[in-house]
Amino acid sequence: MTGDDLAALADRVFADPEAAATLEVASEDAEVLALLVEYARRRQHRNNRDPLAQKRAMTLFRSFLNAEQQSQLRRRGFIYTQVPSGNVYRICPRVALTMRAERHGKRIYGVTSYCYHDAGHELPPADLALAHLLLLLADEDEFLRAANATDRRMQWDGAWRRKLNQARRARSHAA
Amino acid sequence: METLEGHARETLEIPDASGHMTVRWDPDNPEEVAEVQGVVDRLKAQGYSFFEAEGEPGAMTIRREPTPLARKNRGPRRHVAIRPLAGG
Repeated sequence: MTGDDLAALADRVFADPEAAATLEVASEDAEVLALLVEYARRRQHRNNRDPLAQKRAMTLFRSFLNAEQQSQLRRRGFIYTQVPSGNVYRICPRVALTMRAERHGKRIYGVTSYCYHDAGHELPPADLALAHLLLLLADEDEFLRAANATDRRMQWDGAWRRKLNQARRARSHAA
Repeated sequence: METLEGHARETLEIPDASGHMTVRWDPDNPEEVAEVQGVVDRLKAQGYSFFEAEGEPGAMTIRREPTPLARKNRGPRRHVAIRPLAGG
């Protein structure tokens, strides 16, 4: 499939994902089509979402937080929660992003992020964040078993950070 | 689904596409309990998980429970019903 073909296919999919899902394409392009349809469906759900839903969901989410977590949420947009196993998680209700966090020196890094959501992507992000919070506090093992984990460990890898800082210094010298 | 009003001591929050829905009931009122039991049964059939939160935020105990109406003679509690989730 050429770039123009792909762009044309994407236009059709985004115009009507449900009709595009039944399109007949070459077998090697079927995976691309499935990914485009999935992405278009999610975008459609996001756009069709009740604008007040996230606000209401945030109210419910906040009602489960202690004073310190409410302050974290106001200042930084996410909260930290320590679960019974001792692990610390960072939960961002704006995008329903949950990460396991570790302290290294003065900084706290997200080392693993978790994707765990409802089938239709209908729930507002704050409701998903609440589900993550409750499941982590009540049954962390189940959460870890069911959620899709992505390793983000490079963020606190010493060698990687040294290279990053070196590049930043070089850039500032050049400027 | 109808939201029950009255001298409620327990609440069931059901997150949905509209934000969430709250069902309140008095555990000492058999009619309200029966009505909530119907709601819970429908949600269980759809694969929802139930969580119970007891205490004030900050010192809250969260438990996973098979059904919010199973235990009795306890202080005010909040329940949350979460629809089935999957890793993606």
